[in-house]
Amino acid sequence: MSDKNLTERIDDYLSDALSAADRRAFEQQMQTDPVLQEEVELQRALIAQLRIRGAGNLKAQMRQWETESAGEAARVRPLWPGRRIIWLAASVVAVLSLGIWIWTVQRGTPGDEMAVQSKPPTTGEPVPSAGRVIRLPVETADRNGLGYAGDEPDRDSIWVRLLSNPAYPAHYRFTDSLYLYLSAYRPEQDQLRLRYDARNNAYHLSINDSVTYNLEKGFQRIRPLMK
Amino acid sequence: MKFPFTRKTATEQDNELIERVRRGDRKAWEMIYKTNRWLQKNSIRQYGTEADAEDIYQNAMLALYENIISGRLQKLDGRLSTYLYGIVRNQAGQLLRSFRPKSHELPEHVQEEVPVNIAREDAFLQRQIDRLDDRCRQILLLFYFEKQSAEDIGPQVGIPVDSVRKRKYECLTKLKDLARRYRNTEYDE
Repeated sequence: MSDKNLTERIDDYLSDALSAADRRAFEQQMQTDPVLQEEVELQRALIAQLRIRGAGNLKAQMRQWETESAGEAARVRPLWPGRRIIWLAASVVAVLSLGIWIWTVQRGTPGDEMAVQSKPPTTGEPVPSAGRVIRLPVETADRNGLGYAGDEPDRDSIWVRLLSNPAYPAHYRFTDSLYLYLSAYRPEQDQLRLRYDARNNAYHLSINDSVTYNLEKGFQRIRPLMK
Repeated sequence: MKFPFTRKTATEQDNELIERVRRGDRKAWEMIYKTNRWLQKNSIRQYGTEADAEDIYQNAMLALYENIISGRLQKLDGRLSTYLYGIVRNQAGQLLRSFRPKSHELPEHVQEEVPVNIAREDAFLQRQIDRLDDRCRQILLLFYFEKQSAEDIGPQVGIPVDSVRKRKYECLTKLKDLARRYRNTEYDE
């Protein structure tokens, strides 16, 4: 019997694939043939070890799943490099935007060249290069008059930013806040009054009660003060 | 007669998974392992440490696998998780029993005889399995551990189905030759 046939025959014997008669004959042969007996035992042992190896591989796979699962649970999902760069860029843009906004607010508008002076000047002299923020009361005229819409103004005072810019000697910009460009304004002496004409839904700014300007609200563009 | 679009019951889905595992589908096995992992968490609460619970669950999964590939588990009447829960409980019971002191335990100063030769023989045979080429080892493992048919093994190892049986005997003969060749040299070391 060739080695191959012998291996096959032993395999059939070990896997119960032989008929009852063949099995009996094979066992009788084993009793008289110690070499065959040894071959059977070796093959049996190797197959047993293959099963142990298979079970070991399966357990190793399961342990790997557990390790992966534990790793996933413990790991805070990192940002992938590209996204990290995007976040970094976004942070820089946000910081820059905030800086520009603060700078712009403090300066009034991009055209302004003066910094805000939080402390009012102590002298009565005009301070052309200074700016300041004041809260100005809004006086409402003819609230009960005909045509009063009743929706303006929604506040009884507004923030007014006083600025000085040679390019805008007597100008304004009126959105939610009022930006006044008055080069000749004297903080300690000049008195500002803001009145709202409910009948005509218009604002009027008077300086020292001697000159009154009509203001149009809601425009971003800097406009000249017009009487 | 079933309506063609009737949804499969959970048990039917479980039986499909079992059949896929029997045919060597590793994804199906992974799915069974991962979807029933709650049993492991359950074991932690009931039986103590996380390591014990992991061991219990993995041994139970191994028993399930062997039941599937040996054909002992053909088809379920209920949920797979219920079946698996039973195995987990058995495994946990075995573990707990192993912690209890045994009445027949030998005193500490009397050492039990360790079957050194058997352990040495096992290690030797495992080394011969390592010596096989990857494909041979895979064929033998698929055949003897996973008990897959030639039809299922052929596509997995990339050989014609007709050649699988022939290759299996070649590989087994090779393994036996390795064992014979190295037996004397390694045992003499």
